This record gives sequence, structure tokens and C-alpha cells, in this order.
Amino acid sequence: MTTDDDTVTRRAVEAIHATSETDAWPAVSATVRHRVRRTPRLSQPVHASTQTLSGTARFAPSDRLDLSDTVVVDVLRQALHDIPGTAPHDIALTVDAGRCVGVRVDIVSAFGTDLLAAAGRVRSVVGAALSEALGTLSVSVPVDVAVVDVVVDDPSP
Amino acid sequence: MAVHSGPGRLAGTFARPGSEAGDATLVRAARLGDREAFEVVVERYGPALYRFARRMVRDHDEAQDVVQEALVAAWRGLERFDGRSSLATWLFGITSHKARDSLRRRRPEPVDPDLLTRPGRDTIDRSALSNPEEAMFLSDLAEALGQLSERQRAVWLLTQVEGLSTPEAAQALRMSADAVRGQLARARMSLTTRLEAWR
Repeated sequence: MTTDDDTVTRRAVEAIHATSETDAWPAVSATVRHRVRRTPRLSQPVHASTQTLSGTARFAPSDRLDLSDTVVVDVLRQALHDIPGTAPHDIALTVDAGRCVGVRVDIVSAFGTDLLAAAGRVRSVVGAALSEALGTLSVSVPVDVAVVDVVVDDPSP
Repeated sequence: MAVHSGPGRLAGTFARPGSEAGDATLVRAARLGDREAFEVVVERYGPALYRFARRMVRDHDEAQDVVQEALVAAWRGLERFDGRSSLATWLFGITSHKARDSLRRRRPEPVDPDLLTRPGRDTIDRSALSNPEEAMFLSDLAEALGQLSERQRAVWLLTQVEGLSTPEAAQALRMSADAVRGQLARARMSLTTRLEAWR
């Protein structure tokens, strides 16, 4: 390929970059965000108790409360947000006949983090968030924590 | 009372990964259902995906559909993103696939050949309207790109316009690196021939 060839293809690249085609992006972006918000992920209902652990009734005893497992995962993810040097990588609920019977949390930690302490903190935070979401049905739900990666930069958002 | 909740929050407001967050952080959060983290991804890569799609398909509407479908597919399929390629490469790969699907879906439509719009042909930048020579060059470039095969066009756009390396383009297009190099050489040769008048 000659220099002239390079010049014309370089001009072509520059011309594409210089066009304001991406001016159309804001309108496209709005539609994309709208569609993403309307696109549910596969989920299943998880029974939650109408009684909190302190015995307070959140609803009438005859009421039933089901949460989507994606909502429970979202609650746990948010609860784990503020643990320094650690971020959730995956959160999986084990659901049997509509009841949450286990939680597994995979975490990523920064180099230098006390992994044992971090895992303990994660377990504690998840337990508290579960009880907030599921009420008395969170009692005795085991929480398994696995450190799946250790990274140089702080992985927490 | 049965409450089947959709995605939402039960707890208070939390800090979210912001526009400064790295791709890995955003993907981790989005994979766990954080739509706002995914929206940062959309804003980060969407303009380039749209620019790529716009040159791959026929017009703005089709490009918009392609990018929408690609990003919704990415949102649904985040669990399949294993991090072996960069996020950009993965997204360009999905967009390329959707563009190819779109071109094939529309191919059988009866069209007046004279009115057939080549990919990107109707793109005339507003600023170029004040520069007729540049507008003509863009028009000829769109015509020349439209003459390339889908593969050649995708390879040229990804490597030359979007800055992907040969291995990255190969990953995105599910081709070997050698095939990418071959398609790129043919694309460049074709473009320089068709843009001969602009040398």
C-alpha cells in the first residue's frame, strides 16, 4: 500500500470521526434506557414473612409477601456496597418450593484486604439485609461467602 | 395480599457506580441487576456502537434498532460476559451480529435498485453541508463502504475507525486473526481504488 493509499484511507477515518452522526445518540440512548428498564431478567418468587424478626407485623397475618429473587439480590448487592476493599461478584439464592434456603456470595477483594474479616463482614451484612427483606423466613438461612478474585485496584464501586 | 415485586429497592438510597467507575466494576454491578450501572455502560460505549452500526446498515432507523437490540441483548446476557475480551470488544461483537441479522432480514424485500440505499449512504453531516467537498467525499466514502462485503466493512470499521486491535476484531467477529488481516487488506485495497479520485 502506498503513502497515497494511506492518505485516502486516513482521510476516510478522519471524515467518519468528524461527522456528527453521534448527534443522533441522545435520542437512541433514551430509547435504549427505556427498553432496558422494561426488560426483566428471568426471576422466581421468594416467600417473605409478614413478620419481622422483632415480631412486628409488616402486614396482616393472612397476607402473603413474595419478592422476586432479583429484588432480593438487589437488596443484598446494595447492602454490600459500603464494605471497603470488597465488591460482590455474584450473589445466588437457593430457592426450594418458594423459600430461600441458602445464599452464596462471591466477592472480589483488593490486595491487602484481610479476607477472613471481609468474609465475616459480608456474611453479617447479608444476614442483616436478608432479615430485612424476608423477615422471619431469613432465620437459619446459611450464607456462604467465597473470595473468587483478588485485584490490584479497589473493586468497590 | 400477594406482592410480587419487580425490580426495585426495599432499602434506602445507596451510592452507585458512577461514570468514573471502571468497566469491571460496572459489569459486576450490572450483572447483579444494577440498571444504573448498565446505563453508564450504555453512555460510555453507545455512541461508538451507533457509529459502527450506522456504517454497517442502511439508515439511521435501522442502526438505532441494531444498537437497541444489541444493548438489550447485552443487558440480558451479562452473565455470559466472562471478561476474556474487553467489554468494548464484547459489545462490538454483539452489535456486529445484530447488524448482520438486520441486513439479512431485510435483504429479501423488493426494492427499486435505483433507490437502494447503501449502508451509510444517506449520511451527510450537517457541518459538511457548509463544506461541499467534504460532503462529496463522505458520500463517495459511504458508497465505497457499501461496496465492501459485510465482513470487510466490519473489519475495516472496527480496526480503522473504532481502534480495535486485530485480535480484538477477531474476537468480536469470531474470525481468526489471519482472516481479519486478509479482510482488512482487501477492504483497504477496495476503498483506495473506489476513492481513487480523492487521492
